[in-house]
This record gives sequence, structure tokens and C-alpha cells, in this order.
Amino acid sequence: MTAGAATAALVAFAARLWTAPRARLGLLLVALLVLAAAAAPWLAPYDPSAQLDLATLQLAPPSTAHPLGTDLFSRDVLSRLLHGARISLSIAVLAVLVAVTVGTAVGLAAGYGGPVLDAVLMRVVDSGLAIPRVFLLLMVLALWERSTSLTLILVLGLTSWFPTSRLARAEALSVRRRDYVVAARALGLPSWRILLRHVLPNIAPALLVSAALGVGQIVLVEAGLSFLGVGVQPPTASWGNMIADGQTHLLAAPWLAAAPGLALVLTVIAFSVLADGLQDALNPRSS
Amino acid sequence: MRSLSRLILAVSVVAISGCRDAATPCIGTCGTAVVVGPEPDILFPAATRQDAGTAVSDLVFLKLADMSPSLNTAGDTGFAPGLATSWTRESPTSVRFHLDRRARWHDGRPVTASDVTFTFDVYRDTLVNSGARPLLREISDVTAPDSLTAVFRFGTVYSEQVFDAVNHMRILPRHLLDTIPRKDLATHAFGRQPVGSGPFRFVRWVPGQYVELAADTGFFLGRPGLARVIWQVGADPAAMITQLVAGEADLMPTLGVPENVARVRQAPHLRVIESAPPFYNYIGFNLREAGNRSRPHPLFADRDVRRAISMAVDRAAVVAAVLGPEARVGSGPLAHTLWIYSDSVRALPFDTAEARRLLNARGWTARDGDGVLLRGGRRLEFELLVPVVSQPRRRAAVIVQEQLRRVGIAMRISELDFNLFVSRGPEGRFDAIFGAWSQDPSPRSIEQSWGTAGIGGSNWGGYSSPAFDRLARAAINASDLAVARRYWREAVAQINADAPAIWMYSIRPLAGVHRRFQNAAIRPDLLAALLWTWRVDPDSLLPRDRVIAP
Amino acid sequence: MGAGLVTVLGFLVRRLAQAALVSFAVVTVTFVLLHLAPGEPLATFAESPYASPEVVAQMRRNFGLDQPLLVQYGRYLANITRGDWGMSFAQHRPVLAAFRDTVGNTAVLALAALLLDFGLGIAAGVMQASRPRSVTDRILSGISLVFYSVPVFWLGLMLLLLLGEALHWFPVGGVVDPVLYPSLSPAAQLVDRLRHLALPALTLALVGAGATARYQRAALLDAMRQEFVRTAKARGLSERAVVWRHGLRNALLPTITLVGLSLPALLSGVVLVETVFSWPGMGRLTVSAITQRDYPVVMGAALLAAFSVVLANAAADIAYRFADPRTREAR
Repeated sequence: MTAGAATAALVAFAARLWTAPRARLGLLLVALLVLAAAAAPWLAPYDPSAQLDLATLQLAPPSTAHPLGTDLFSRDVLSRLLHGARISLSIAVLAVLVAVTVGTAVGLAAGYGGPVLDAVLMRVVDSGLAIPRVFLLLMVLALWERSTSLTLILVLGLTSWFPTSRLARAEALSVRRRDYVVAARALGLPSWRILLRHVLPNIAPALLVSAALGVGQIVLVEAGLSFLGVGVQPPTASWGNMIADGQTHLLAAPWLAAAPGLALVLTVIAFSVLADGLQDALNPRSS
Repeated sequence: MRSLSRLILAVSVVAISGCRDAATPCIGTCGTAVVVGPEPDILFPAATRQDAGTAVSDLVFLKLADMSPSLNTAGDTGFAPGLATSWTRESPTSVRFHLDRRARWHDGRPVTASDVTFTFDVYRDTLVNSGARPLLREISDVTAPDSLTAVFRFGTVYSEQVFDAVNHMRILPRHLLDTIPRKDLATHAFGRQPVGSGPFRFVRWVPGQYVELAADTGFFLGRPGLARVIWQVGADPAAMITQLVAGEADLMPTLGVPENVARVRQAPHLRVIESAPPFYNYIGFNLREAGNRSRPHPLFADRDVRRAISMAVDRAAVVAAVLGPEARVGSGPLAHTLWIYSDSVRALPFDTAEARRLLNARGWTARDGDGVLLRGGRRLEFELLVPVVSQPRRRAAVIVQEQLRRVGIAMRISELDFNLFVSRGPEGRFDAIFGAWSQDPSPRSIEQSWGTAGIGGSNWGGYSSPAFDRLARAAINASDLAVARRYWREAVAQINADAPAIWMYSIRPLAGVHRRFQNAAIRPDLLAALLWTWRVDPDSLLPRDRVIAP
Repeated sequence: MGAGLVTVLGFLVRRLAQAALVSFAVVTVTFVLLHLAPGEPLATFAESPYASPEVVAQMRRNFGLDQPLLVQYGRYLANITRGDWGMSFAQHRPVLAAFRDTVGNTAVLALAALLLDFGLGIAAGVMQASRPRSVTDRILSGISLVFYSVPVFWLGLMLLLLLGEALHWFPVGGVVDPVLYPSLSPAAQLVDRLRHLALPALTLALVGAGATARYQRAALLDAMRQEFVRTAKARGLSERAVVWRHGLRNALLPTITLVGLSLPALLSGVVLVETVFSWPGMGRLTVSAITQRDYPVVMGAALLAAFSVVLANAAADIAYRFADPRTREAR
């Protein structure tokens, strides 16, 4: 496919995206989530770290003043939920950006750069896929002790790029042999130019699907890490550490753990539906 | 002798004296006590650094002599016989111990004085690196003139010689350990299959789950009242209280937060007992730079900054929210049960206006985007170390963090594994540390923890005030109680004014225990000390009590 | 036949060599990470209160930290292969010894979860594929989407709350009843073990089944469109028979590969589930090792997990190779 044809495919893809019902639903859900998260400082009725009234408002059940109740430190759960959405979503989106960028770069290099580079890089990818994610993350987080949001984003991103690299590699391999690519190389065009103009547009839709799924997955992973205590550090609210806080009061105040958990489920569902919708638009053949 | 607070194994209450001769011997199966706690690190007394390890080891191993109910540490009398039946003072610097000829190791061999000399050697060996090594430095050597006599010689004359000789070491079996190279001793399999001479013998350790001990029916000091003790591993305080309330465990040595105490009080099959001497909790400032004693701390060397931070904390609110009525707001480096305590000495009040004024006066006027105070571009922020295992301290820290935030101070909380926590303290590798000291019966411990001589020892923050030292010394040397009391009051007033720490609260720890146990008491300093005298009421046996001990 | 055997052996050798290569890469990655971390590699070990200066010096010599990087790498490789994975400072014993006590528990949990996962997932996938786009299909799709999106630790907590603490149907933690177990009859012991295993395994299985069902449904629908299925239908076999006899058998083949592919996610979930249910396995050990700064245990756990995955994938590939009729017939 030439560059022109690739752009045409992209436009067609976008058109299909808009008409496919699942894609529309997914986009809607995700847009709602992102909006709620971005508008958290204005939507949240209270400051998420403010301990409102230690004497009377500890572990208060849901009420009109506090629709999701308060936690052990008399902090409003709804406000923490909204701010937590902001933290969790921004970490996940940025991490996915890192993952897709690194994965694409590595995959293209492996597919395009010759057999030796391919072999070495793919062994790294294999080993990355072999170490279960949580173990890898725990190992990295243990060795680099400080756990700021930035380290978290980097660490999550740098441990999630492996599947993307396989995708990019496959495409780069198939493109390599095409006529126009051979011609371009003969003309002396630099590799990165070729990759940028011919390969990237082809894999862009697949990358989008991968990214959408990735956000959902990374939100869950970050929640798990925060639950274990090695992710987002308190008092910053993350859905994961809110669930950990709620664990000690499971019987007495179940809303503390239930609300962030449900929020997580809804978020992941939203991104999964979006990914499915993107997949539909990618392959018009019905499922 | 002041000792480090045991967060998990707090212990208290008077021993019921007659129990020593186990007047009513158990016939047949006598019951199983399930104690729920963290997993022991290792059951080798010289190597364990953790209260769970010490508690279980103390059921298996025996000391030369043990403390009496009065917990006296000074002098030569007032100790209960252990492996030694009696001791005589030979000179101001030597004491002779006579071992009980009935004492046996669990494999049948007799306990001899060569075990004592071997034990001393092991405890002092740097390759074993026992935590008790510094406590034994006054003992110059231990010799065994014959198989039932051990002679301890000391470097100086002081009143706690016998205490040092008997209390820190659990006697180890030479015949099982002396062929093992010293560098391997601390990690040897013996630590997971110990053989001791105490009231309980080791049966099995299922890692991650439980350690099972069975009574040594031939124990020379009397038959234990229980047939078995099971130390059940609880992953965290939440899991432990669940097991206790569900009836799967019999004793939870430290209940911690008030909701646990409330749950135990509400449970018909449980009751609350006091489990440890009171201790006081404090947020200590490091007056020297973290990790570098030669330089002053950039923030906390300034007395006014420390005073300001102290005044920004509403300790009453913290105590009410986290601990409930069981605790008292701190008013100095002592618990409210100490005899010198008096309402007339107060800690700095909660006064955020004054705190702000003080900080402004010291140059902290600008604020950054988060509202944190700045001085010369530097944020007013620091890190507080809190042990993971103490729920109350973790919660209190979160509340303090928010209170300080309102004044513009950014405090980061670092929750550490307990062993890491107690290693950072003495090494001075912290900004602020949420510590706790167990309250000794004697106020002398205040000087140990906060006097200049304590730097390098228990004085983690490096506070040094000649005025305080003078007053404390005068109080200790005073012969008249009223005079001593007055000097102590002034000393405490001095230290409060200097604010080397925020005195958060003092509390009497509580344990939850099943009602079916008779003689259920815990000695203040050692969980295991009285456990062997517990008995199960024969009318209330549970299925697990009827299990025949292996 | 001789030629067939040679190609089979050749495949085996190649596949195992690939597994060895990936394992080698995994060890290299951990070595690189260890040395990239800030501070000297043993600085964090030395911080542990259990490590006396003599012990740390001994470790320094063992790891050859005074030597050039390549020599260190060689020593590291040699140690790992020899079974010397270092010393756990929190437990005062070799890392592998600490693993020996916990690996069994994790293996049992993982196996039970896998069985439940694939049982539920395949059943759901079959039900959906035999009635595509029906109400059943849509409902099951929705359910599997929900379970696929649930955080595994939260699901565990909810199950613990409902079935453990509120209804008391299952115990709230541990592997066996610590006090009564030794005195139970073998049958009762088995029941006790199963009761303790139920909730953690179910938690992992439900989350995994969500993914398995989606995969199985797609694979089965794909298989149904294949030539041989259409031939079978033309021959007059009922829809049901077609699904079961032809579609399923062929769709199950990729499932073998799915076992290997889903293992990393399963092991990741195991860490969280073991924490929630106090299950004394590798996951809980790793988490407590992190708080205790016991790095040899953390790294060893990652290595062990990776080796399991590599082994499982190799086994799955070999099984697939032997089970796939197409490859067999082609010879």
C-alpha cells in the first residue's frame, strides 16, 4: 500500500468507527470517564485529603451530604473516587503512550533491521513476556525504591510494550519486501522515513486497538500495585489503595471497598468495549 | 531495665504466684492454646530479631533465671529460678550460678555449665550478630569450674549485674551446635527445628501457617498446664482479629486499634486482659542530618521549627479518632502511669496561630503551588518513618499529615517493615520517626532515651541539653522521693520546651483471650513467661483441646 | 517413518533450545536490572539488620563485586544454574529453601484455578458458539466481559466478604485448619483442604474464565466456518453433533496454547489473591519480601515464575504439535 492508499484507509477506518454501534458506545463511555476524571477538581464536593470531622464523621454511611459515605479519616469517598479516577486514568494513559511508543520502535527495528537485531530484540521480548507482570513490576519497584507517579508511569509503560512490539514487527517484516519499499531504498531514502510513511499508517489502527485494551489492563495493574502498597502512595487517592483501606472495614463499611472496585470494573469495561468497537471498524466482517 | 516497645507482643499483668509449682497437675489432654501473631523469623534465640521469634523461642528455651512479678532489675535477689536454682555473689564483680541438676534438654541430655559458657560465646560472636550482644558488654567472661556451676565476671560494679547475666541469654545446647561453623549458625536448620530445655518442645513448623509446640511433661519446674501451644501465623492485624473473633484463635497479644478492642468486648467467648506495660508513643525529630551525625539537621536543628511543628498537631483529636478512651494524650517522655507523672507538667499546646507565627519568624514565609512553606526556595517537607505493623501509628500518622498540611508543612509517610524500622532508628537514618518506648518502672530510662549519654544508644534523635542532663542526674541521685520528683518535673519541663519530639500518646496495650483459660495472665515484659501456667477450664473444652499432643 | 521420527526429534530439540534461550535472556534481564538500580547492588542487602559486616563481605566475594562486570555476570549465571540463588535475609536461609516451602501451595492454587478456569471458560464458549447472537450468547458475553474487567483482588475481597465473613460457608484464610487438621481422617483432611482452596481458586478462575470464554467462542465460531465442518453439515449431521464432534475438537487445539499464554496473567493474579486470602504461597512471600527489603527473594521469585511460564509454553507447544491432526497428516 502506498502512502496515499494508506491515508485513504485511515479515513475509511474513521468513518467505519463512527457508524459501528459498539465503537460509538465505547467512545461515549470513555469520553464520559475522561470528562469526569478531568473535571474532578470541579466535580468533587470536597478536597480529597481533607479530614472533615474526625470526631463525628468517621466511616459515615452514604447520605445526601456524602453520597458515597466517608472513610476512616472522615474524608469524602466520592471526592476521593473522582480524584482517584484522575490519577489512575492519567497514569494508565501516559503509561500506554510509553508502551506503544517503545513497542512500536522496538518492533519496527526488529522487523526492519535485519536478522541479528531481530533475534536479539525478540529474545528480549520473549523474556519480557515470560516474567509475569506483577513479579516484574515488584522486582523493578523494589530495586528503585522511590515510588512517584513518574516512576510508576515509566515502570508500567516499560513493562507493557512487549505485545505491541510483536505487532509492529510483523507489519515491518511484511512491508520490507514490497516493491515500493525496495524502490524507496534504492533511491536512498532513510529507513526511518520509509517506516514513517509506509508502515506506521498501516499499523495505526491495530495500535489504537492495542492501546485501548492496554489502558484498561494498566488501570487494573496499577490498582493491584496500589492495593499491595507499592503503587500510588497515600494520602493520594488511587482506586487501588482505596480498596486496601476499605479492606480493614469490609463488614462495617462495605461501601469503602465496593465503590472504587465498581469504578474499576466500569472503566475497564468501557475501554474493552471501545477496543472491540475499534476492532469492528478495523475488520468490517461481523463477529 | 528499659526495653524497646513490642508492638506485637505487648504483655502485662501480675503473675499468680502459686502457679510456679503447678499445684493442680493436668491429667490427660490439657488443652491447646492458639496464639495468633506474625510468622517468626527464626527460632534460634541468639539470632531472632523479632518479637514473634522471641516469643516462640522463649517457650522452647530457658534462661538461667527469670524476672519476678515485681519486674525488679536491680540487685541480686528478686529473680525466679530457671536453669539455675540459686546464685551467690563471690565478689563485687563476680557471681556464681548453681545449675539445677534436674534440667534436661528435650533430647534427654542434661543441661550443664558448658552449655552456659558456649551460649555466652555464641551471643558475643560477631558472626552470629545477635541483637543482644551490646546488652552483654559488661560481662567480661563466663567460666564453668564444674558441670553444674557457672561463674560470671563483670568489668565494672553496677546494680544490674545479675539481671544482665540471666535475662538476655537463652541457654543453647552445646552438644548439638558446637560443630557448626559460627558463620552458619544463624542460618542453620537448627533454627527451624530447635531443641531447648524449656516447658514446651518443638513439634513442627509449617512455613507460612503455624508453629506447633507440645508440653514437655517432664519439665523440671513443673508440668505445663497446657498440652499444646500453636503459634498461628496471621498475615496482618485484620486477619488476626478475624481469626480471634471467629474462635479459630485463642489469644491475640496486641489488639491495637479500638475497634478490635470493641469487637473483643462484644464477643461472648472472649475477654480483654492487659498485656503489656504502658508505653508512650512519640514523633521524634532527628536533630542531626539523616545518616550523618556530624552535621545538624537542615530543618530540625532549629528549636523554633520543632516547637512550631509540635504546636501544629492536635494530639487530642488524633487520640480520640484513632485510639479511643484507652489512651491518654502525651505530656512528656513518659507514660501516665509513671510515679513521677504529674498533671502540672504540660507539653506544648495545640496552637496553629502560634505555629504559623513561629515559622514566619524563622523565615518560612513564601508558599509554593501546593501551599507548602518555602524558605530560600526550599520546601518545608520531611519524611516520617512508621512501622507497618502498628495500625494505630499508621492511622495517627495520616491524621498528623493532614494537620500539618493545613499549616503548610509537607510530611511524607514511609511505612517500613519493623526490623528495618528499628535498624534505621539507632543509626540516625531518618528525618522524623514515630517511635514508642515501653515505660520502665524506673524513670532512669528517660535519661537513657533523651540524655546526652544516650546518643549512639537509645537517644536516636541526638537531643543534647546540658540543662536537661543536669536535672535528670540530680533527680536520679536524689535520695528523697519528693526532691527527686521535683527535679524530674523540671527536667520534663525542660525537654518539653525544647521539643525534640512530639509526645503523641501513652497507652496500656490490651490483649484478647478466650474465656476458657484459667490463670490467663501475661507478664509485662515477656509473652511466653506465664503461658506455661495457663490451664483450660475442664468444663469448657473445645474440640482442639481434646487433640492428643504428639 | 524414520524420516518422521527425525523431524519430530528435530522439533523437540529446537523447541527446548528456544526455551533455554529465553530462560537465559530472563536471567540476563534480572542481572541488568539489578545493576541498573541506584546504589551498589549489595547496598540494599547490607541495610538489612540481619546482615552482619562479615556476612556482607562474604556475599561481596561470592558475587565477585570487585570484579569487572562480565566476570560478575558469569558468576551470577553459574550461581543460578547451580541452584545458589542467594540468601534470604529475612528468613535466615537460602532463597530456594524458602521457595521449597511455598511453591507447592502456589502450584496447587494455580492448578485448581486453571482447571476451574478452563472448565468454566470452555463450557461458556461452547454454549455461546452453538447459539451465536442468541439471548444466551449475549448474556454470557456480558458476564464474561464483566469478569474479564474485574480486579482480581477486589473480586477476592467481595467473595471473602459474602461467602466467608457473612455466610461462613468457607474459611477466611489459610490452607488447612491449623489445629484440627492433623487429627482428621484422610477423607476429612481432603474436604478441609478443598474448603480452604475453594475461594481463592474460584476468584482466579472467574477472572480467567472471562478471557477464556471470549477466546473459546471466537475460536469455535472460526472452526465452524471451516471446510470440514461444512462437509459434515452437508452430510446431514445435526448442529449439535457438528459443534461437539468436529468444531470443538479443532477449537480445543488452540486452547492448549492458551494454557501457556494465560499462565503469566494467572501467576500475576496469584500474587494478589494469596495476599487477600493469606494463602502461604510464592506470591505472599514475594510481597512480604518487598516490605522487608529482602531482594534475593523478590528476584528469585521473578526468575522462578518466568521459568515456569517458559516451561509451560514449551510443553504446550509440544503438546499442540502432537495433537494437531493437520501437522500429523502432513507428514
